Amino acid sequence: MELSKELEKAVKLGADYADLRITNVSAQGINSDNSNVNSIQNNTTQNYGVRAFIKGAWGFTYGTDINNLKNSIKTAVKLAKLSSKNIKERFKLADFPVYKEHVKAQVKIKPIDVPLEDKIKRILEFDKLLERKPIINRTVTANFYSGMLEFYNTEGSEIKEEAVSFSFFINVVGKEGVKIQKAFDRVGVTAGYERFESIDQEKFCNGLHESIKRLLHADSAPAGKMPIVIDQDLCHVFFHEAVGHACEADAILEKVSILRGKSGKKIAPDFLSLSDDPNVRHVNGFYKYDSEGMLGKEAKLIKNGVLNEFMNSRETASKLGVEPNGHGRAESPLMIPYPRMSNTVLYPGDYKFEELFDGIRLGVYAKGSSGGVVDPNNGNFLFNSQEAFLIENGKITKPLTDVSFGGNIIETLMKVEKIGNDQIPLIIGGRCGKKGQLVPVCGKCPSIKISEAMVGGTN
Amino acid sequence: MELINKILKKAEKYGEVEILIAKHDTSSIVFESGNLSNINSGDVSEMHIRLSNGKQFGFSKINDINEWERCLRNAHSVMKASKPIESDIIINQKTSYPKIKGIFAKKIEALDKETILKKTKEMMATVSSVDKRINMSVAESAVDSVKLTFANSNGINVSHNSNVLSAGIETTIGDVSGYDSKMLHEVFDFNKVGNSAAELCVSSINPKPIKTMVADLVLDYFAIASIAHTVLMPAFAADNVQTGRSFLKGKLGKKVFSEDITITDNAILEKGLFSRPFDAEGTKSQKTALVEDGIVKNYLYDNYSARKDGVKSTGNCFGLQKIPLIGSSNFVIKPGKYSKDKIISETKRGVLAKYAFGTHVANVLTGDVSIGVSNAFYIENGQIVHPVKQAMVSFNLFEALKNVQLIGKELRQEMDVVAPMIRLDNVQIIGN
Repeated sequence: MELSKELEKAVKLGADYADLRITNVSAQGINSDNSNVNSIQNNTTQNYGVRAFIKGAWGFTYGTDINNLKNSIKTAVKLAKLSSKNIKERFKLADFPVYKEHVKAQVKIKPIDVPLEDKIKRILEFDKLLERKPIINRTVTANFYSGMLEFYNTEGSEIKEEAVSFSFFINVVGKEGVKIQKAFDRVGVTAGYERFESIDQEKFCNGLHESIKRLLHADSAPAGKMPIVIDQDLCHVFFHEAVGHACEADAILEKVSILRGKSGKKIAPDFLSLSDDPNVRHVNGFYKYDSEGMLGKEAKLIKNGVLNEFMNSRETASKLGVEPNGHGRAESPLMIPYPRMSNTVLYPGDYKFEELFDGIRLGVYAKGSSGGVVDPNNGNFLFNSQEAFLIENGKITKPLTDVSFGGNIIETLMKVEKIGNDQIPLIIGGRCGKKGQLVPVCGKCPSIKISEAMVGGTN
Repeated sequence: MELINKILKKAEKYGEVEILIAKHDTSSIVFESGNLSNINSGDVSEMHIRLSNGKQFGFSKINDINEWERCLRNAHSVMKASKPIESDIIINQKTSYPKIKGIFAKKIEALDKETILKKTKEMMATVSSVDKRINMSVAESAVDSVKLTFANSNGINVSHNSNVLSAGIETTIGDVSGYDSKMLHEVFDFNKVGNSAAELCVSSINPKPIKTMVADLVLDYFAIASIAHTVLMPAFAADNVQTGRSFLKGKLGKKVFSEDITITDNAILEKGLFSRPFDAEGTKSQKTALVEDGIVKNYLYDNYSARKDGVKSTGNCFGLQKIPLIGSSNFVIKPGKYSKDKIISETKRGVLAKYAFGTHVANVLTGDVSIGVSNAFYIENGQIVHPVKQAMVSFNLFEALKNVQLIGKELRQEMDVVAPMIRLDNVQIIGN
């Protein structure tokens, strides 16, 4: 079956436009729990999705059995006709470039080519290194993906993009007397097996061991408003939640972004520039083409403190009358693409890391991310650290347990007081959830100081 | 089923086999800002195959069922690579399964896209009738039909069908929002969903900041469901207990919660959203008492974890890809005797929270919860005074549940949690 020819039938049936996405993914996953390998997975996934567009309205069909494609194309057109009959406000799809390319992943060793036995062996090496007090439980998990994403549309685009990535996690539980705590660390990148092999096992495990020992002797954080310093990982989560989501153009069009109507206005200090860039190679949000066959481009969200650009899908770019920037992403062909983030990039500032602490009488330094969330409509956000430390008179004085931080976008952005010069591409992987879809994201960020945030401790 | 027999036959040479197939047939409609955006329809399958030879397991899954032979080969390569486990692997024998009422509705099956479209539009009209200023950012509705099949080489070959109808709507006025949704195994009135989303939005207008304080936190259905699902439920999974990842380790028969707390896992609950006659290993579903009057009664088991503790599986195997892999079905918290109004009138100072915000960042191990609340209302002297602009709450869930006194008398299912409203006393509330 020649796919692009098959898709053209959508036009004969009455569609103005149609596109087809297909993915074939091989995934291997291994999980060990206290040296017991309790999960080995060796899975393959094939999904496809067809969108048809008629006079401002979409019909979408999807499935797992490609033999049904002919029917799915017919049904997509039928649903688009039904949509078109019921629609109030119509829009025209803006012109889009046509691409024909086969993109190969730039990796040395495809993880799928490495025998399962070798992977299991390496995972158990990590496990052994963590078999020491006060750790009572350790789980080591690695997931390897190797996929081919195909995109075809009725305008002539034919794209194949190979995607290779892995994510690696270790969770440990420590116990001392009645005190119990958890710690974790991970690596998640779009890279080959050679990157997995390059992880320094001793260093990685020693870091976790130190971390759990500290957490077992840590106090709960204070509660209330105070200055905070956050490391690169948390800085990424902060900007992802606090600014990124509100800059996704569907939120603007649905009138649920607190940043709507603020284009061209100053929302952050002059020294702050933020972008979202899928082109940061090896970082988890990396891709060349988005799920709509558009070349992924850097979206310059904030330029010297001024709100400058939103992330767009083809539909939102058409509706807003702007150039598309290749941010239409879907978790899989079973789902509809929406404007999404890729890699959140905060441009580095002038401060050395130590200088971020100067002048803080009482505050919190937090590092490592364990997630976050935002309500883009009112701008309230929350993120959680893996570890934290009390800052007293400009110095780190004692360890604290993990803590959540809260704030409001509009208020907090102006309170970013110092940006560090220590920007790095992040290797912590990460997936972002929105509208029921998870897509891989990450960032490239420095450490920063925020002059005031809500700290959610209990002391 | 011919396919099942083919797989069973082909798998014979490897040992024993368990097969789980889920087929979803879904239709959905999405409106954005009051305008129809998409009409969707799809068929998605997934097949899980687990091989075993008495000492080793091998697993693989695939979603193009035509490729089942590849799935079998992948499972075999996993079995070869796996280390033998300490106890013998036994797969389930044939048994009879319970019939669960109210999980498949012919009326849902008969709904066509035009009818769902009409119901969704009516829901939106209801929202507009509550307040003209409301923007309906997203309105969605869907029908999902699932056929689940389990078979194994001991001759089990069972299927069951269920379907659900769901509707949800997000409303906003300026930077204030109100969301509501409903998912049921029956055809229901979408207008109620629209009405409650709109009323929540209107009542949240003009929020004011509150001070940082220690006060009471009244958790509404959505909030209690997301906290219970994320932080409480994993503590009952036997694998977490066995490996020391649960605070309930060694607590069987002990009083851990307030005597007003009773919890069951009920996989055979009539109309339950997570009810099913069998679990992923083909174990017969049951109702399991987890907590009775504050005393821990049982944990949730699959076959593997049950053998380790010398007990029977509670039918809570959640998937074949991990050993063990345990999850709750319908996690039911017993209602108390208080009406919503009574709970509020009994509260001297506190916050009523419709939604908990960011529960996924809570510490499951220690029970430390440090999250945001949204659509929250400040309560003073037994009365709701004003909506709250922005607040975080911080407490230890396990400690807080020791001292619970006020539990609502009405139950509502959100996701896999069936719970009443619950007031947590003396919680750290961080205002702005």
